[in-house]
Amino acid sequence: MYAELHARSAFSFLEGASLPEELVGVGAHLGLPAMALLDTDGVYGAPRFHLAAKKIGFRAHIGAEVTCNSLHRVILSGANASRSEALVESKDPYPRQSAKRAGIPRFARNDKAFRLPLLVSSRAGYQNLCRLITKMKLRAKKGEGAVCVEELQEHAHGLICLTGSADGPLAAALQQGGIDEARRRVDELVGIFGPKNVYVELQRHFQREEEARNRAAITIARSLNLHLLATNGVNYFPARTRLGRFPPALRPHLTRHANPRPPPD
Amino acid sequence: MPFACIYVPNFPVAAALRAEPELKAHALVILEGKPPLEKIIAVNENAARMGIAPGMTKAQAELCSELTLRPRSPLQESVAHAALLDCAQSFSPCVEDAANDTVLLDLAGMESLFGSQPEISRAIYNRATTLGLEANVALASNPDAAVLAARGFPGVTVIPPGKEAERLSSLSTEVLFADRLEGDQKKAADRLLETLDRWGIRNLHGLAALPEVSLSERLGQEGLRLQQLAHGAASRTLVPVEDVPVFEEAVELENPIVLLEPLAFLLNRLLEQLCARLGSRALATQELRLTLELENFSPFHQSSKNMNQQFLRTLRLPLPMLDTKVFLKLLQLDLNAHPPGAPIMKIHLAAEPARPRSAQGGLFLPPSPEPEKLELTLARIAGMVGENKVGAVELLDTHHPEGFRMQRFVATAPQKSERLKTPEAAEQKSAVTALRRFRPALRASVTLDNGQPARVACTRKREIQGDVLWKAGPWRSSGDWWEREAWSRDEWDLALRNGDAVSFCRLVHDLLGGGWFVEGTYD
Repeated sequence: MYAELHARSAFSFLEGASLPEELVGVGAHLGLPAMALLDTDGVYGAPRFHLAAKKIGFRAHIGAEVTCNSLHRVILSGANASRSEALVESKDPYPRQSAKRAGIPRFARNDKAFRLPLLVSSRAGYQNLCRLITKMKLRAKKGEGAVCVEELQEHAHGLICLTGSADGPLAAALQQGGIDEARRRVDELVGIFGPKNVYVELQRHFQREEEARNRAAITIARSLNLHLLATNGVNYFPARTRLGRFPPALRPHLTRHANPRPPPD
Repeated sequence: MPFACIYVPNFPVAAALRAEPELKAHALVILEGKPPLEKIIAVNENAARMGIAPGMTKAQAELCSELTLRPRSPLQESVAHAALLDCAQSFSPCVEDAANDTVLLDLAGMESLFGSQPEISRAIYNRATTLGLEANVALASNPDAAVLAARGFPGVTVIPPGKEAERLSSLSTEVLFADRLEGDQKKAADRLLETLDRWGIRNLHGLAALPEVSLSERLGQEGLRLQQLAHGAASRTLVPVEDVPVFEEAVELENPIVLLEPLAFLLNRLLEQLCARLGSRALATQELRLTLELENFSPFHQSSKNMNQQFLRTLRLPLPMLDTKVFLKLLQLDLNAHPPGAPIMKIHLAAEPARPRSAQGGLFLPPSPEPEKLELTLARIAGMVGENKVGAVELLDTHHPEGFRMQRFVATAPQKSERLKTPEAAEQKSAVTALRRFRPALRASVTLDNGQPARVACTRKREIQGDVLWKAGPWRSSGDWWEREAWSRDEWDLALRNGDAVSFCRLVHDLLGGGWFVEGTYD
């Protein structure tokens, strides 16, 4: 039995294309037992998602993808933060181009930021998630901001961490330092959330780069004795296929021709 | 304060000989005027010895079979004049463009750079000769004395200060006037010379000895001015020419050229002159523009010379260069790849000046190829494979597998190679799998089993066929669905068993067209 535990609604601006109610409807139509809504840096879609699911007796889970800069400790000095360690730069001679082709979003390509998918497992987890997002947004301009590792450690209780897809922490670490760096990153997540609350995520959209990432993820999961979790990374349902292909292009101000890989149905 | 004058005697002949040096041994005459009333305006020494003089008609000249006739070419004279200016400006920043055949230089402060006055004058003479000009060079303490000396004395002349009157005294009064005066100026000059001749004054010594008052009564201010010139005492400042360097060389052909080999010979000469002029100003070039005027064979325009076609080729170089041989080779390769297609009547070559590159190679860095050799190699390769098929790859911002274009290859400065810290890192860095693409992709016939390839056969490449031992895929990609050229494909990486051999290839299924193709093999 498959449950979709990593979906985004149109409240993930310029990424998702379906309303929360539509996602619930399709999930129920397909006979899924449950679905989790993880919008970007917010829980805007959560109320509508929850209400729509409650109406039809569909099981809805809530979470969010929070932007994170680094899992290393940072030394904060007023408004500026300097990293205490630098991550290894990619040796790829065409980092920008090949990263675009691999469908890695701009903020994850050789930049240090990534999206950490967090699922709420309890009321305390929901409170912690909201606090994380609030703290992040209060100190940054609209559309910017990232959580830091100290905040994650403080508010980890009740949250389940996934390793994400092309914009997740595992993919970013693979891009920056290879499998060793990715293993270290996942290990750090285990240190923050606990081994039972970290799931290594696998998505399969028939892409070479993604398959290479999946193999690395499987290797890491086995070495760290973590569970694997298959998700689809849903951004829109099939009837909205053409509309859904535009937001990823609009977000990094690319032309349609430069659209990162079309998001999955 | 010394001044130098560079004077090119018999300028129309000099300009023609600069374009065609092989005519120096011939008896050459320059014609001007509308046919059939052309007249001789200039002759060289050989023609003069044969009794040919300016003013004769073309018909009279043609009676002498050994004469070489050339029409006057304003273009060649303009180019020769530009070369004369270049020569002067390579010695002094203050140059006056006195006439088409005369330039004046202010040599104040130049001794520390070029040496004594005799050395400077000899250097100027040699430079002018290098640029193809047979010039007279004279140094004096004032410009007008230098002009008179250059007009009157052949070769190099240096007049010590205070000795102007003495040195100029033997010169004919004709040197007081420029060679090619026209219209009213020529009439006035002729009148004055005739008057002086009637008085028995035939040299500057005689003119200088005339009483001033009586001279002014008879010839007015002009007479006084000429007397001051004869004294060598006239003093004035130079009117410097504004420096607008134009580096062009041209040659008009008597008979059209059909083959590329004689064209190369002429191009070599033009390139040598261009490079010498650029070099005299410490410049190089990054762009050469070749314009060939082609003979128009159209029967409707045979009588009109203005209907000749122009054939343009532009050679852009990655770096400023100044190498005649390299330029010639590049032009030859370009013309071989893009021949003009008609006989050539005129050749015009222009160079865009640029500062020469300065590069300091590192002691511990690997040497990079010389830009000149690299450019030649690239031109040769382009001649074989086509112009747009050699260069550096520029990835386009698209997922299409052929999403790249060729751009000009420029060698970058070599950088230190990173030291790999561990043997594993070195091994990881060296382990690379290459896909050898077939362009175009090879059509294949595929046997499917449960929708997946089970057997592949490629008729154009026998070694790529067999049962599928191992496969990975499908890898799906699509794009441009909003355009007419939408594409959608599945890729498979396959290991094929063919007898005892195993080959690895990439198989592509065009989902829109339905065909199967082998796109390449893996090393």
